[in-house]
Amino acid sequence: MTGSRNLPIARATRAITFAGALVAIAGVPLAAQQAAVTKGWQGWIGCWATQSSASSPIALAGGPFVCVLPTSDANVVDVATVAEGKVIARQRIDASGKALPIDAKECTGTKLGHWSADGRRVFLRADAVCGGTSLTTTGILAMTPNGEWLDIQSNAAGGGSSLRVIRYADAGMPSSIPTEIASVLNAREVAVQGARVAAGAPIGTSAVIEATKLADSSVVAAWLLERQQPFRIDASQLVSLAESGVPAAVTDAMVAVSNPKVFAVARPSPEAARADDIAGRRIYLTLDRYDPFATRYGYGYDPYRSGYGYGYGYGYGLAPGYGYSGYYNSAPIIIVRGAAQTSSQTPGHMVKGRGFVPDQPTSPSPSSSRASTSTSSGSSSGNTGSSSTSQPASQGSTERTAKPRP
Amino acid sequence: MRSIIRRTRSARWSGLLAAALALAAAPPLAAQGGGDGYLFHQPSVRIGIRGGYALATAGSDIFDEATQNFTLDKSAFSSFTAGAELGFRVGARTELGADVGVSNAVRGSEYRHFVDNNDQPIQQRTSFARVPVTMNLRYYLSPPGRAIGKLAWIPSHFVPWVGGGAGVMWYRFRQEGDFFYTSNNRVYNSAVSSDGVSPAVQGMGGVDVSITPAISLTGDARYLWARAPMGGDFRGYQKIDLSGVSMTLGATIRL
Repeated sequence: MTGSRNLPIARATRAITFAGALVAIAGVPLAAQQAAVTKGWQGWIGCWATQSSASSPIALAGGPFVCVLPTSDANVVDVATVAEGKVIARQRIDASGKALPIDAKECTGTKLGHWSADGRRVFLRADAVCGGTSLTTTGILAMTPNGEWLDIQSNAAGGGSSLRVIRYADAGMPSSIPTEIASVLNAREVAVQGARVAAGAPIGTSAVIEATKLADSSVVAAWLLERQQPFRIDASQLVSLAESGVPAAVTDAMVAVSNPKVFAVARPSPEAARADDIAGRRIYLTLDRYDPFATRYGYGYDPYRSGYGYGYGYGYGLAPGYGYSGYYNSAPIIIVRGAAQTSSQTPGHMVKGRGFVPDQPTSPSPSSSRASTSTSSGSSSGNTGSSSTSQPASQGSTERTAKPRP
Repeated sequence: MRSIIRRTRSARWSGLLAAALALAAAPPLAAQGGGDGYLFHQPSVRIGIRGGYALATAGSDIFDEATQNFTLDKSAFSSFTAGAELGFRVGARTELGADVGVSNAVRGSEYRHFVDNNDQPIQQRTSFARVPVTMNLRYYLSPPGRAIGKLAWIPSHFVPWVGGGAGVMWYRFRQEGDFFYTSNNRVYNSAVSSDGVSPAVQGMGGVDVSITPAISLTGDARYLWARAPMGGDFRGYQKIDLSGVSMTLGATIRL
């Protein structure tokens, strides 16, 4: 759709990315990357896979992987996307807090990244003007308590915005990783594990307040909902948060994760969403469905889009070309649990002699969500710009079927 | 004469108002309205509350199918019940009353003959709620009390009674949880329900046992008949059988 319209732009974008990757590879000898890494980046060092690929041994064999590599600058890491034994893209993340120029075709602006006050998260921001349209991207790179990497980004332009969340799991050291990367990473395993635990440790309300000042509220809300860390908050603290300028979407997320008996977080099927809507159980935190990158660049056909890893966005070069798994334009949803409502429901009816008949028999079985409470990913919106892998709501668990009782 | 009647009606409405407002305060109020073992007047209003068990007949095909497919039996649709009534004396031994009851059977179950692909039960929950609202006539088989002069009324210790009435019954039959679709064997989480209102008739009998002049314990049994169309998410079923017998114990306050 949009992709086909913007095919030349997409190719140009990919070309820029490739060029950038080549420059980065050529310009930063890996040996030099053994330099000191700040305490904050330690947890990210290593190779990662999106949860969908991490759960697949077949996918793990050849990738794609996203490998975070140290550089000579303690605030900077290189992010290499590896597929089939080759580095196919390389991005650089600079968390020094310095505003850097955006160097991309038809776009001008600045980008910056910096550490949170506790040094456990990175906030990213890019402000650019592309073809007369102002674009603002904010994001958070954070660890979950389980040592998973959350990469959450919001793009805003023209009064609309979109949200993207990716959850990466440690991919270990697959054999297909190029030697020059493996040699950098091999010696760091112990330090990395400890750093991930530290980075994913519980956060307090001060961290939330800080995040709301540095990232879009949808990003912060998604971060909290993905972390699923309960807060001990009472009415007075909620008032205090509101008076500190914490947006309602964020306090909603805090309340939701802090009261798991009342609220669930999910991204179920459209049918279940409709049922919840009718029942008034669903509270949407999400945003307008407008994606400045997609409408502008389209991305077009991308041979890597269906599987390959990182596609790092955040306005860095404005070329998220290689796509990623995860979900796109699909913010977490808070479901108000009913008396017995612990999972999304499929509308259906009972027919005499036949039993249960779903209204949409071909829809994914939401019942499988009973077996998987992971909130790591959701369904792709099908946005041409970014989402590389469409994952059903039941991703992460096998579909539940019935069989005769043994 | 006319003014006397008007005062009498006024007194009755006052009694009704008092009854409606102050069930909890009734014992002390009643105590103030009587002497040792008697009341100062024959009660004109009776307020009763009761609790017990409602046995559902469960005689229609929806229950048959539920018990065949799921680990439920007919008793699963029976439950505790509670009710209240307000009666007005319309004769020496006769009362006209309004009565409301509620019962809600909730049972967990699983498919009898199927499990999921992990050999785990496919579970659901069935609830069957009934709320009858009826108007009834009650007839006391023995004098409910004895008047001594105009200022003393002594309640009988043991008074059997019978009654009957008609009204409406609201119901809701709901099943929620996991169900599988036979055409593709997928398990879906869903909720299906049917509710509605139907005419109802009931017959009843019981006994009042006075424990104070104003308060008696009441035991009763009643049979209520009602059938209502199945609608909502249920298709092709007969009218649902809402009938059943209930047995309750309660307390009655005379005002």
